Amino acid sequence: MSKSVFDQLVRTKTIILDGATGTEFIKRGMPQGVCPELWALENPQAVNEIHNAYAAAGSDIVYVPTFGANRLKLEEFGLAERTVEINRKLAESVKANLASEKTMAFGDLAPTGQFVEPFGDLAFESAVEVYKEQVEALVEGGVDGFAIETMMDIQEARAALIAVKETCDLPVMVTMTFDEHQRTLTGNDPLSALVTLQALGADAFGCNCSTGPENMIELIKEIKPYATIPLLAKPNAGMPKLINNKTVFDMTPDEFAGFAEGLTAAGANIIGGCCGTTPEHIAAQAVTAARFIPVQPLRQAVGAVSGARGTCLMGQDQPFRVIGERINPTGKKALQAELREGSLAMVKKYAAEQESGGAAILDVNMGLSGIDEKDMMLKSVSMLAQASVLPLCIDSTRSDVIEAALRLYPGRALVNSISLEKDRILETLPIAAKYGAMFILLPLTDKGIPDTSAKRIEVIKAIFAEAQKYGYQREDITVDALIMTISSNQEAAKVSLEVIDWCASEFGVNTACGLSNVSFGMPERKWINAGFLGMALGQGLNMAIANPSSEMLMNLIYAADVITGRDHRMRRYVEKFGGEAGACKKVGGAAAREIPPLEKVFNCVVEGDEESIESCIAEAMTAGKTAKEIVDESLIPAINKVGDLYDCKKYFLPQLIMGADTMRKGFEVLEPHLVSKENSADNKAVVILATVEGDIHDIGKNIVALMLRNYGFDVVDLGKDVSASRIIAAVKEHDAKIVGLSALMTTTMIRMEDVIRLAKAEGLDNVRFLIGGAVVDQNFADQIGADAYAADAMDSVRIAQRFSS
Amino acid sequence: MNKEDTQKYKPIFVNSIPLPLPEKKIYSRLGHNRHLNEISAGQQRKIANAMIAASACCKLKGVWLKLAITEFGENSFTLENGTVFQSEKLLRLVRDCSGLAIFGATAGHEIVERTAEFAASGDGVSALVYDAVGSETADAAMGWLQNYLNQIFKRSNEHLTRLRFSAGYGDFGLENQKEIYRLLDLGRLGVELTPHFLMVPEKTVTAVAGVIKVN
Repeated sequence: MSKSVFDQLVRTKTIILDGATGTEFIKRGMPQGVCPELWALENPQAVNEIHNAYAAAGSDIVYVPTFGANRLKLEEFGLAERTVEINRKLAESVKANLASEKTMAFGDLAPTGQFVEPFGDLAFESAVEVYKEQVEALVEGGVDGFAIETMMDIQEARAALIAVKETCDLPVMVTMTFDEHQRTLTGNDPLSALVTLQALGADAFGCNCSTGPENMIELIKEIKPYATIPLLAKPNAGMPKLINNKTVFDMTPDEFAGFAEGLTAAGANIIGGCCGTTPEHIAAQAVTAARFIPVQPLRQAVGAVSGARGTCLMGQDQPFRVIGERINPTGKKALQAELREGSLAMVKKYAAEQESGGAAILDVNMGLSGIDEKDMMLKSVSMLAQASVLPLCIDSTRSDVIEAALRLYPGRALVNSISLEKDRILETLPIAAKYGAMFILLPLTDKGIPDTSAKRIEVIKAIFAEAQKYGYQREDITVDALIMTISSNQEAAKVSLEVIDWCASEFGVNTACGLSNVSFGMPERKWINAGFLGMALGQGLNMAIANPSSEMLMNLIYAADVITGRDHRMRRYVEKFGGEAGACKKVGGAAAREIPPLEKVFNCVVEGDEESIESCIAEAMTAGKTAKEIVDESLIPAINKVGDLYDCKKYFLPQLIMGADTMRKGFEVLEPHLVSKENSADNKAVVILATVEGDIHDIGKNIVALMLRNYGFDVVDLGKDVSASRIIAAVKEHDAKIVGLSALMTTTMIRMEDVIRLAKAEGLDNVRFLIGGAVVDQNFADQIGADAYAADAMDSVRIAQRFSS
Repeated sequence: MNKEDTQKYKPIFVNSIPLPLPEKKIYSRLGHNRHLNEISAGQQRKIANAMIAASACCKLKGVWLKLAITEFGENSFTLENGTVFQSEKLLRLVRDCSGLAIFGATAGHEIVERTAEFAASGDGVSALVYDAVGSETADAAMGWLQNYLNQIFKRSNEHLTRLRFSAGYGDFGLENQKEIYRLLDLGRLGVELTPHFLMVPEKTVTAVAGVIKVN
């Protein structure tokens, strides 16, 4: 079956698929624990019965039972070497025995059970090879097309799709399994999966398994506006219930069929059933579906790029998009040095900063002498695909680097860039097209950059004409208006603005520019940049390659989106700036009340406002308060107040620690004054703290140490996994009278007793032990002869105060 | 288990477990009670910022392996590779199971190192929040793995027991960590095992759960 025949068929009616196969096998005697594919091969009559029952019920397409017939799954049954045979024979058998010639048999490709890079260990090319082996055998067996189904990871779905595309020209449908929150287990969302897979060449996309039809109606409805291909829904017969160790799907055929109208209305063009469905379910569904006309794809192209977990839509109806420019070693010495050492730490940092700064896409350029550009590009793509939700823009002048990156990237990328230069148009364009990438169109030729807008427009038209041969539409490209610096030619900006205007108003494509080029060589560049951005926005510019950490740039964009109506209901603007007036009011309000300086210090500790305590203390001292007064009248009462709030549970632990941290900082500020004038640093009681031998958990002990220090104790923290002998040696060395022991595990808490026993044996009868940790309690403290059990850090402080008083 | 066994019973690694920040659980671990606690916007912002920064330090990786149970003893059971686990409680859990899923997850070294740095520098809030984020995300990763395995096993009419057991729980001795460590080849995730059978980095969790065949 050719893709065009498939396409025509989908346009004439709602295509009906088959229902569950595994449960039908079990009904026909498949025992537990066997390889279902081998059983199917050995029991062709059962397979024929099932398929012909589905065909009679109205299925236009049945799946050849090769769900687990990839090499990696068959290996679990010791059948890897029979992969080709099993796939080919099953396809031949199904094709030969289908009673109706109208019913088509699609080869079934499903997960390998392993995670594909960058998310797992299985090399991407290995995954492609695993599927290719299966695809070749199924094609040999005569299948009419392919169904890639129950995918939980976009990268594995991509590997299977590429395997089909590189092997044959048969139609291929891809379905993923989304939970009730509309995510796959690996975090892929339906829209980004659709954008990625339709661009890569899937002939239909949708969902199967995991949920019932109700959830799928919502999912289909949400992605329909962005689909350029038919959508597919193959739901379970409701949600599974485990009753008496049996999985039960209790939706009846009539109930199941009742959702066919909803699915069709939502935009599904192909429907069927998954777990728990039977030929009766499919028959009822087919009858219902025949009454409704399916909604065809609403568009031929969609301006969108995607990552594994997010999509960026582009267009005049979308917000202005900033392509973060920072992951580019040009002119960045520190990044260059890191990349030469093979480190991607700075790349990761730039990605996080740009993401939080408001970038919509991350440009990735690894062009640097002295490094393997392809290798570093692949490493960056792998890392960024996991670390960021933003889609990537693959930026390279080398077509081999672009191809390697696009093949591995688990999304639909933007390619930066394609011009009329010979190597770009002949090499890079077909590569971008193969992987369905969007691209930035540069209006330049081998002769250079045209100097007038008319000449640039001719180049744009020529490149687009070439791209159309590969199936590109206007939505799939973004024209870079090529901003030249005005310092060398004051007409340069005008030419770019004319190009932007033509692209946006006549040609109907997205436009972008490397914004800061315009001001190169000029003083106070930010004003030129801002002025140009405002003018370009007015001409319809809707993207820029820029640094999103520029507050002025980003704020201008937020404002422009409101003015142009791209920020629907001004949500983004209000979200960004809505809280600021309130914040200012609060600060102004506090100042207006003229809070006395000592109260300000007090409030700092109670609020845990570490950032303000130093200035508040300085203010108090300027107002004539002594260090002792600040300690006695502000810090001590404040930390006691924090303790009280904690005791009555109005505060929880982080607030207690915030107060303690702020108090400590206050003491640090005051200490020079206290030491010189009041000599208050002496006479601190010494507390030895340790996590006992064998235990490496020390957060609780560390928090106790912090609190004790804040309350004026001299803490000797011995760390974790500390032997009894070391603890006792420290007691002697520091002449300590208080020892705090911590343990988090039942296997290590017994070591506490060793310490106490050793102390007694050494005659340290006046040393008092307090113990703490998740697994100990007062009973255990009593049992091992500890003097106290501390339930938390505050309790430790109070006990230590009692011991030392 | 010898080298040949390691090849035969090859664990499957997940390089990146996608999880949203388990905010509620982190707050709960920190002792937050939404009915009683009063928290200012400034304090909340500080905690939330620390959580997000901590979350960026967590590199969640996982690994799993399924082995058939070949023999049940009085208070032990044997796996297909010859491993014997002794524990009455665990035996009770897997008595009706055909196999055992062994799985582990780590939040990585960075989160632990940063926690220690904050503790050493006296930034208690960050230390506390980073520690809680590390613990809860590692635990959530185990939940994710359990959920994932259920999806995988569903196709062969299997599912995991609802409960999972970790070494050191009840009578399933901590020393079993050694065998689990070897079976899962946890060294490949950068995890080390101390002589006292604790895992480093400490935000690493392993567990076993029974694999039940559904009729």
